[in-house]
Amino acid sequence: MGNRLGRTQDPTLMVLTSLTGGPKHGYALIQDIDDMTGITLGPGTLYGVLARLEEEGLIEALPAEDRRRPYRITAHGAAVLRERLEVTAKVARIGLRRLGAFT
Amino acid sequence: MRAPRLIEASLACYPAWWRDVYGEEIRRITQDLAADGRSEIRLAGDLLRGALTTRMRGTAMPRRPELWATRTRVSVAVATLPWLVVVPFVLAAMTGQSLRTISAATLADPTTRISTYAYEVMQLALLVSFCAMAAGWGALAGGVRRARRPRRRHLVLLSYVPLVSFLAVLGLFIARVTQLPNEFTSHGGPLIPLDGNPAAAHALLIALWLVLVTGVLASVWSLALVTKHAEMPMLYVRSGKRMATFTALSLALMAVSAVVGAVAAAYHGHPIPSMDNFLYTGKYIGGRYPVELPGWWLAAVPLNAAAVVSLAGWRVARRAWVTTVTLTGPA
Repeated sequence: MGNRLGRTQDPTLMVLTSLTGGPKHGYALIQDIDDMTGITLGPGTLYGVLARLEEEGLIEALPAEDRRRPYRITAHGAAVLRERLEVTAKVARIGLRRLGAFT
Repeated sequence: MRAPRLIEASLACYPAWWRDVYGEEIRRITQDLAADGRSEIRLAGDLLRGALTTRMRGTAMPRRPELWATRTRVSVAVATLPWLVVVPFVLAAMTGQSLRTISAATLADPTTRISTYAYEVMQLALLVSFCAMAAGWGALAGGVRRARRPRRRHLVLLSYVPLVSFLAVLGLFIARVTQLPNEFTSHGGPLIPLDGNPAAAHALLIALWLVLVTGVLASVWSLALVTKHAEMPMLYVRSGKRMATFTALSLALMAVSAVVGAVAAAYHGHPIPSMDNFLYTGKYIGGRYPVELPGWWLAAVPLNAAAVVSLAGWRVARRAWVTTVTLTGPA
């Protein structure tokens, strides 16, 4: 069940949330997301998301260190993340309340 | 440092501009993940999926006109080349039939009518797509002659491979027709040819199929190279995009028709007549070429695969064209 739900998770949200804890390179992002959610992103999936977020100006790349380029969230990215998390939290609150009534 | 071979092969599937930006990072991260005990096969699989998505969406692709023009040309090739690959299968399915008598009950069955229509739609779509491909090839050859690429002569020669292949196949087809018997006799038994040279016709048929398959492979290879490397004027790229539309829709129509025919034939349980034919044996007698069930699937399976690839290429080509025009101005 956990895996099935994991497939429906949005990696964009996970990456942005992970970057709110400070700049991270790809490997650190994978580790952090694994610790946060138990979901292991593959490198192809991660860099697809990073490329898109960078293109949309939600994150930016910092100078590379030892072939590892850290990424950090931009102000615009933080605003977008806040908006999405508020909606997600609202849905979660309503869902949990209704589930309480259901059981 | 080089990543393991499987990872390198997956990375090679990404576009060059993407590898320039993220390639080194990916190599480093896969080394770290492999050191953690992650399966190389799974990492390579994830990279392959990522490469396909990147190619389909063009995510983060630099907005350089020449890159987007190449993307449009390559997408047009992806939309059209499956047609060439699938044509031998369709021809084999449509021509690999034997003359036999069909009972009145079979003729009256509704599935007979359905499969006959499906067959006719397939033939029509094949004809339309052939015309589109011929027109598209003309535009491509013209575009390559006017391309800015320094090795233009090399590309011009390569662009003629499909024409040479087509003429070779046509020549063998005509030669075979001249050797086929036209008159038969039958004394209550099997048909006995009275003219022609059946042995030569058979040898020419084998040669025809060999040349067809070789020509298709050579044409796919040469057209893929030409479309990718010839920096042709935008007017010709627009023609290619239109051809991609015709080809993708024709392939989709043929794929649906083949499945309908196959299902009808399977439901019916025996061969279904699809093509009238008349033989001369001193007097004209009517005959029918039934398309056997394996024949329908021989067409349906590759056609559906080709249609999926072609529609995907067409979709990418349409979007890439819009961006190219935005960056370069109207053709």
